[in-house]
Amino acid sequence: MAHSSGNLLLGYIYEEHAQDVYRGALLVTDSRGIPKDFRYTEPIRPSRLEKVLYGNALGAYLLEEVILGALVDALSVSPALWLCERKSLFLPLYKKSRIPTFLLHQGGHAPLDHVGEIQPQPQENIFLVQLYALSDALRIEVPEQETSKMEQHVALLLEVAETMDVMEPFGRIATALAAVEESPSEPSRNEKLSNLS
Amino acid sequence: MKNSQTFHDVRAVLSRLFMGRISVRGGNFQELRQAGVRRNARNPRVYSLPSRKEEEFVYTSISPSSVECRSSSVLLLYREGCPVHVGLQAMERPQVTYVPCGFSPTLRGNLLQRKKMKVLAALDRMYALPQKRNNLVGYLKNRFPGTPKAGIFAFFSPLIRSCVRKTALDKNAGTLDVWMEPRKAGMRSYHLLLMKTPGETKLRWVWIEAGKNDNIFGGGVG
Repeated sequence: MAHSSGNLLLGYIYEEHAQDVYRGALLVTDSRGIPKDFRYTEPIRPSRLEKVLYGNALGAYLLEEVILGALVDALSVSPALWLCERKSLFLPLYKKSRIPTFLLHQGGHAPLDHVGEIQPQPQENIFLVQLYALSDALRIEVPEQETSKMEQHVALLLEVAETMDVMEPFGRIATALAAVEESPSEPSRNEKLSNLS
Repeated sequence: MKNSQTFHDVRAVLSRLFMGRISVRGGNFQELRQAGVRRNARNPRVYSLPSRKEEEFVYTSISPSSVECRSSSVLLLYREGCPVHVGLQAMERPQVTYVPCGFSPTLRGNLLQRKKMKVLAALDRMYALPQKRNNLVGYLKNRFPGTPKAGIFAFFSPLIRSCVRKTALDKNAGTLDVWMEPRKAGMRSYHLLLMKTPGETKLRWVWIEAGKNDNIFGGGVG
């Protein structure tokens, strides 16, 4: 199917935390996978006081309220669909943006019979979807409020899947974050610093 | 009275020694002396953090060796298993006092204004990165085993051919790196195959438009 334009936007959210350092990033691409906006936070290393105050909730606080809030507020374009790979930001992102949000997991799911097939799973709000003829089925979790529009959202995803690998941008974000970490002193031409208040 | 008491005591001892009996005395709880009980529990003071809404406070009054607070997300106030008592006196000047295992250090400090964290934009860096495509030839052979694909070594899809600036095959990972030209138009999707045609020794790259010619694979790979 030929498309007249690539203006259908997908948003990807990414977070990582290791050894007391938290960071996050957002990538918005068009339906060809070409980036339209990319934002990332500086690494956060929580203080001793914050660790005592927040205890086990520290990670959730930093990721959901600090990192996610700052990233979404900084975004210049609004995607039609948010895609997450990790559960920690899935529902907080939906609550904050009110844009349909999918939690995706690929691998380990046998291919379904035909492209576009949607197979509800025993767990609520979870579906297997066959996006490509040559791939495993994709496991998709949606917020409860969006389950009634599942077919509509999958149709959108299928349209995008004709022109790009839907899962690929997650890996690109991780590569980009590693690159900015290695060479933070070489800001790119359009790199802007925005202080959020 | 005293002689009678002594006599009863002697009789009780002798009957226990020679007859195996013990004396049982009656009474009621009102005659028992009330033990003095003092609560050593500290009363925790809980203050809402700025971004929290609902708090549920759970602790035990018998042995409050740890204090657990729940809010919209779980908020646990303890420190690596040590008994901790937290009193947050004022959010403007946060002060946390905890009493771990017999000594009373005090931790003072200011909460960082996390809302002022930096968010950076780096679209140029993202433009410089290639998109990766996995080799799907394994799926091709599994899904359409009856079709002639013996000469196909790699199958990458989908690719917008008109926007491809450069490609590079990562032989170790088996993936194709694709650098896209963002300014170019076009949405027509293609498969890119690395294949060897019969009678030739060299491998060659072949573009096939998705959808149109998919019947050569047994149909519907796009």
